[in-house]
Amino acid sequence: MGKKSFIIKRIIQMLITLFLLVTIVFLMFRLLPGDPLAMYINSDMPVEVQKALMHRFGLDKPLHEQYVLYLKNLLVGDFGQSFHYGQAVTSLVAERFWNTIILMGIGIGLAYVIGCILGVLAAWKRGSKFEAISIILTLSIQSAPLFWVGIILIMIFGIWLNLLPLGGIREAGIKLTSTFEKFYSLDFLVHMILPATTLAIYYMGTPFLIMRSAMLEVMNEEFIEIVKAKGLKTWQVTFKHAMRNSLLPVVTMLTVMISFIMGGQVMLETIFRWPGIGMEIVSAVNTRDYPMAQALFIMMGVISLIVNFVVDLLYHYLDPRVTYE
Amino acid sequence: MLLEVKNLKVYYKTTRGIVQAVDDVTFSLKKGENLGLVGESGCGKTTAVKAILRLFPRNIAHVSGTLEYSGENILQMTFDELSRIRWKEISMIPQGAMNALDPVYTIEEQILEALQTHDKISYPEALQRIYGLFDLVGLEKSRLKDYPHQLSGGMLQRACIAMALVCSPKIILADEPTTALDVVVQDNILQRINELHKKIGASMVLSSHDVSVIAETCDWVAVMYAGQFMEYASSRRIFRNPFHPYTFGLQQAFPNIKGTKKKLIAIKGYPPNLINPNRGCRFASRCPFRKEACVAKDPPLVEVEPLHFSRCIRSDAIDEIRRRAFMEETWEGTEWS
Amino acid sequence: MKDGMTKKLKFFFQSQLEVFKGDSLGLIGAIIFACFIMMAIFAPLIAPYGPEEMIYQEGRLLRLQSPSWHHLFGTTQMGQDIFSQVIYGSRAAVLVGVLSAVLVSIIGTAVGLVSGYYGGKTDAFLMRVVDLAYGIPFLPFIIILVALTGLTFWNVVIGIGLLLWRTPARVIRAQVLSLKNRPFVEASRVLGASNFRIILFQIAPNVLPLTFSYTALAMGWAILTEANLSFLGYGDPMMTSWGKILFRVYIIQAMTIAWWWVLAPGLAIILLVLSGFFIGRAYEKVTNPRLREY
Repeated sequence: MGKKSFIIKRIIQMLITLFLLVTIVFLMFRLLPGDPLAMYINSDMPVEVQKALMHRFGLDKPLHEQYVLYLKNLLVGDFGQSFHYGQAVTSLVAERFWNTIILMGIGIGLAYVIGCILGVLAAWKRGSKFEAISIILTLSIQSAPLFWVGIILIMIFGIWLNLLPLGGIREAGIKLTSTFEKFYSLDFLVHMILPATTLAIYYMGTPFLIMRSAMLEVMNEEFIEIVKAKGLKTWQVTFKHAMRNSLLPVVTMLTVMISFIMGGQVMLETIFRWPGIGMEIVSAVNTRDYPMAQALFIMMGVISLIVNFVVDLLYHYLDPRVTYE
Repeated sequence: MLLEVKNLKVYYKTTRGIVQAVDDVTFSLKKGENLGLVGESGCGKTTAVKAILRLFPRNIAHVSGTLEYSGENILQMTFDELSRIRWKEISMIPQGAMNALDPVYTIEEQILEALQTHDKISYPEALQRIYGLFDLVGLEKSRLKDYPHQLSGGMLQRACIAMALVCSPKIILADEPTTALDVVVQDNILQRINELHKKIGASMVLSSHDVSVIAETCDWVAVMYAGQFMEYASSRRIFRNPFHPYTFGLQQAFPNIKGTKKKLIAIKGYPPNLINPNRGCRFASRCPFRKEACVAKDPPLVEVEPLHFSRCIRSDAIDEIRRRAFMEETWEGTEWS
Repeated sequence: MKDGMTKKLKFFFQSQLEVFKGDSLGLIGAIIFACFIMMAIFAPLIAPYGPEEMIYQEGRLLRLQSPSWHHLFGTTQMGQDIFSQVIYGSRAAVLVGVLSAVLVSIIGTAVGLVSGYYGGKTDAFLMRVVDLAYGIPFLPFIIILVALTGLTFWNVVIGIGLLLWRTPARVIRAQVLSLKNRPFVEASRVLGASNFRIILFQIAPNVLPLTFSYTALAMGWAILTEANLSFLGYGDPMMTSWGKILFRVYIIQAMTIAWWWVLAPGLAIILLVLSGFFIGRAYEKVTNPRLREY
């Protein structure tokens, strides 16, 4: 089929799924029991403002017309006004988006790198105590709620050892000139250690287990023996050949995990008071700030879809036998 | 003497016990000579061949004996010394080429890997050498940029042959080189192997269950059964004047690609259990010429003619055996009760 | 006819025992799970106090006591016995866990069977639905769902059932694809068996170990989801749950002093979810024998 047409096809599929997702959000917030008007209108607002908002969002119109208006607004990026903050939703989400992405990226990245290396070691030391202990340990950690693991780490490192801050993204009272400046400070790094470590510890179980089982299968293949016969060193055989062949199932898992990872971000940001889209969506639902909740939910869906898309593109590089069909 | 193997034993453990895959094997190889190991599946020939490169499975239980390459014992070498010998001095053409190459790297990358692990050679020089080999085996140069799954079985086998030759080794091991191929391609590959052998002057150790393959390519032949050599001699002698009943059985059981049509006679029964093999001759239970003495003691490998060894205590009755071996009735009803 | 049925049932139960015999972790998981069920059923008999009961000693509330023989897991800010709370909490966990697990595996297996067996447009459509389900972030979805429809455990169960079937659906479909071309299925087709019969009697029994595996795993996921929701304050106000216990300790930031209050419910969650994972792995080994070596 060719690379270009494959990419185009996948983008179209992604857009269709996005469209369906957005529709589901629309239906969810309007058809479920609960006040439909509360969607955009707070009863605290003066009557004229209420009427104006109702007109703008077409809430005085039949459902299908509302739907069209909704889609139109989305296309121009108009997610409405936040009740809680009184500002346009778009700018509020943007800042929090980056807070989340950086934490999530680093945490999950660490989880995958450490998990893969441990998985390779476990497969290498088949039947050893190391393997048995690491399997039970990772299963146990994943059996606990993410927030609990975070609280335990806060208790140990934040409270008892008093080494790291208990939460937040930076010390209060520091002035910043731009959104991205805060990421370059040591203060930010220190605040990121505990939440990122929590993510890494919690999520490394999955790549670990999959890498291990994939390696066990690959190491029995004939070409591994030929590579050994070629006189390559053991670490070359293990990493250059065995691990490289085991990467596909590990990376594929990301598409399944991303949905849970987003949920995990919600819990993580809540206990660490990390101002990202996870913490915000909980507060938005609590304060019935539906425009925010809606926008944040769609944002999370978009992140999931993009991760799926990227993994799909990587397939062919990970295993040349996979063709663009 | 290029390769000298003495009393090689390779055992490995399974859930049911210890399998004596190779049990006291001795042979030697001079420069330029070819040795063929013939036998049924499971007779230990693959284990013996792989042992030359010290390639043992994970569940290895016991290795003893000496395996000397140009005077150095491979079994006692450090891993570094072994790595230097692997592929550079002794290389291997695998059985199933379809699975012998890493699917995520191109053919070129893998052959380069073999070269650059041992020789400090620049990329252009290396490429030239590989092009030369591809001409030798009859593959288009464009194939180098392909991945293994894009080549057919025959092409892959040829690529593997090229890869085995790239470091100009002194010994090439070939474990069932034609088994995974269809008959037409088999003949082709065999011819190439012969030509290459003459051109490059490397020695070969071939293993196959197909007698005719060995007969065509090897100077020396060892007939293997249940982990032991049953007969060992030059190719001419072993096929003209076999001494061991098993060798007779093998010859009768295989069609000859070039020869005339004849009726195939199968050897009845199954190969024995290699876990705790019974005392005495291991072929006895399937041998139509067995006597009481055959199972009483383990028969040793005796020199029945100059440079012709047989592990059969009934070699004095060889004329009668030879006469009866060509008759179909001899091989009926030989199963041990 | 009835004789045949009893024989089949007997065989069925015996083969389930076989699954656990070979897998020590699976056996441990099954035992732990059974213990929790007992705990849930007999809670009022086992727990020394009521879950919300405030305990006084010499006229004063027994606040924040560290673990002792009287109070194995200590007490809360309000003088409640945490050990009793954990025991009563097992009811919510087992209820939500089992109900959700059954719902998820029924939907997932059904979709996997139909999608895998019939193929074609049905398969394409169902797999797009699965893709959509995977595109929806799970916890945020449930949070919004529960916030809009009400904080009852039924809504939680339904919410879980609406999305988590996606995982067993994909996996079971893959297995059905490999099964449907096997000789024994071909033979049935040749003999004229209807599709329905083939699915029910040939394919479904072979897919069952995988179904059970995901039922056990889904129980774990459901319990974790319930804990997450309760921790955020979205738990069913009528039920004591382990997540709610943690919600309370966190809300007042008592974890700086009351480590027992954090540890106890957490360990309970770990044990029950782990048992689900162990049982799930045991059943998975039946399907994939290569895993059996460990």
